[in-house]
Amino acid sequence: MVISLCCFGTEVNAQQKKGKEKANKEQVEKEIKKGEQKIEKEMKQGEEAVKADLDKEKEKAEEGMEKGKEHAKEMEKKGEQEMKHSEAKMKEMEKKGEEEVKKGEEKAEEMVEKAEGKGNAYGKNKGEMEGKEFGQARAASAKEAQERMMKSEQKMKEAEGKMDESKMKLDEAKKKLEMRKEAKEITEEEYQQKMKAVEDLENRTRQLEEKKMESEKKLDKIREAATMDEEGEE
Amino acid sequence: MLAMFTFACGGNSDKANGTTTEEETSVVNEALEQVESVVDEVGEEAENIAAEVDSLLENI
Repeated sequence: MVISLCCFGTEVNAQQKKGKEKANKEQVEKEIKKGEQKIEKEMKQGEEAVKADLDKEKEKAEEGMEKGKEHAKEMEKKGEQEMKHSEAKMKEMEKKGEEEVKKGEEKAEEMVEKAEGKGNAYGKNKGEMEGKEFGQARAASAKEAQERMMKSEQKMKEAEGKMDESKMKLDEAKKKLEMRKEAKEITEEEYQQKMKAVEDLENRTRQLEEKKMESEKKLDKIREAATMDEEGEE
Repeated sequence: MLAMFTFACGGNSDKANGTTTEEETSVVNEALEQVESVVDEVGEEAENIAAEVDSLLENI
């Protein structure tokens, strides 16, 4: 009896153990399934979120493209307006230029008319001066101009004298240098150095002579014109 | 004639038209002033050169 009881007890225990294991297994399976479902759910959510983000980005990009197109159109419009403005400005300038040319032509014609029709303009417009007064004023001006011209001539003659003197002295300097070099009183280097100084001064004198000649020519022209005027008045 | 004169002096030939005594004098003065200025420069430079030549000649 005892033995059978023991055996029965053991069997019951084993059965109970088996039942427990089965329950555990089922529980684990349930947990796994739950986990899988959870993962699946999260993946789905993730996919949806990514899709939403992508849609948003796409929308943004489309919006940007639209904006860009609008900007380009605006710029095009602006460019057209500027071109129209430039064309208008050019036309205006062209018109202005034509007007200036016309004015110039009119002025030139006026001048030619004056020169041809009225002859010598000298003394035509005497202002408020009477004939005698005008003549006296002109004579005084002519005298003053004559005196100034003479003074300038005098100064130029003086300058010419100085230049001639300098040229002679420079020639003398050159000869002296040659002699001293031959007599070996100076070194080649000293000779070259001093000769260069002489040549520089010769060049400066030449340039000055040209300047003086130009002034003389100008003075001659002034005198010539003044003489012809006096003859014309007589 | 004044037109030729102003041209010769390198001045403004417009002044030759409808001239008054004042304008004529002004043109002449302008031309003369230009020449006088150059003449003064020439005289000054001639003196400078002469002084330098003298100094050079002394030191040769």
